Amino acid sequence: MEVQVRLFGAFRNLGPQEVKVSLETPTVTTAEMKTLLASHFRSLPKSSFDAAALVEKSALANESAVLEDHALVSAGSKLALLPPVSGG
Amino acid sequence: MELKIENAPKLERGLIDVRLTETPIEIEHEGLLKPSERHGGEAIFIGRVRSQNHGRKVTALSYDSFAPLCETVFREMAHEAQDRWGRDSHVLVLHRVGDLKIGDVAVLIAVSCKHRDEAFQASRYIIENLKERAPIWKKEHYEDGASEWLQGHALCQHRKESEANHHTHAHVGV
Repeated sequence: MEVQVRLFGAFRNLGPQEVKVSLETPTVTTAEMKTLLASHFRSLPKSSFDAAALVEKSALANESAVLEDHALVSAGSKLALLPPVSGG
Repeated sequence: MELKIENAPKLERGLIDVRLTETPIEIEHEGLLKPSERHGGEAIFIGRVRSQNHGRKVTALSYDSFAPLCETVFREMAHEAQDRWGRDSHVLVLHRVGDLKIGDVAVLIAVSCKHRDEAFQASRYIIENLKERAPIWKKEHYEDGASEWLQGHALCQHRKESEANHHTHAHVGV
């Protein structure tokens, strides 16, 4: 089962608008999800943009709120990976 | 920090209009919320795209956003401002997304309140919080053809419990 993660801001440097991450357990915490995303980005061909490092400074959210580190994410969820913000 | 007045009748919330827009923001056409007859002060903040940043000449900007969460955050900020500076205040928050030119309006905030002081404070609160909390990202395009996503404020995951005034950690930003 997969979690679909939409990409924003600098993560758009990677090209695709979203990534799909496979889970080995039915749920993971948000913090574990970020670790999975960082390893996914590390497995991509090397480029000048260090997406794995940016994951550490980023938050995961759903459409209504930013998720806390201990919040549970289930397979089939749709999330958004939000790097530090710079609006206004 | 709410000021609680016992037995005071609860005022009805003022009007709130929060939006992201891909079309240019033309102040005169935006239909600012008509202030109520009780409102004596209205503050309007306009943020525009400028041509310089950190010594580099900027030729254009692009804004990316996570729209559903962004409009929720705008609405939360509007409620917080009403709760703090006048529940019946009217609040407009409009932010442009997509590709912008130098001089374009990036953000428009208008707050009408009972007095000018509340209007100034509430609009300041909204723009400062927008910069820290709204899921919006800015990409600058430079004279030499290069472009760059700006570094920004890491999103806080525990705002509801802690509230802005009770933070025990610093937010590192640019």
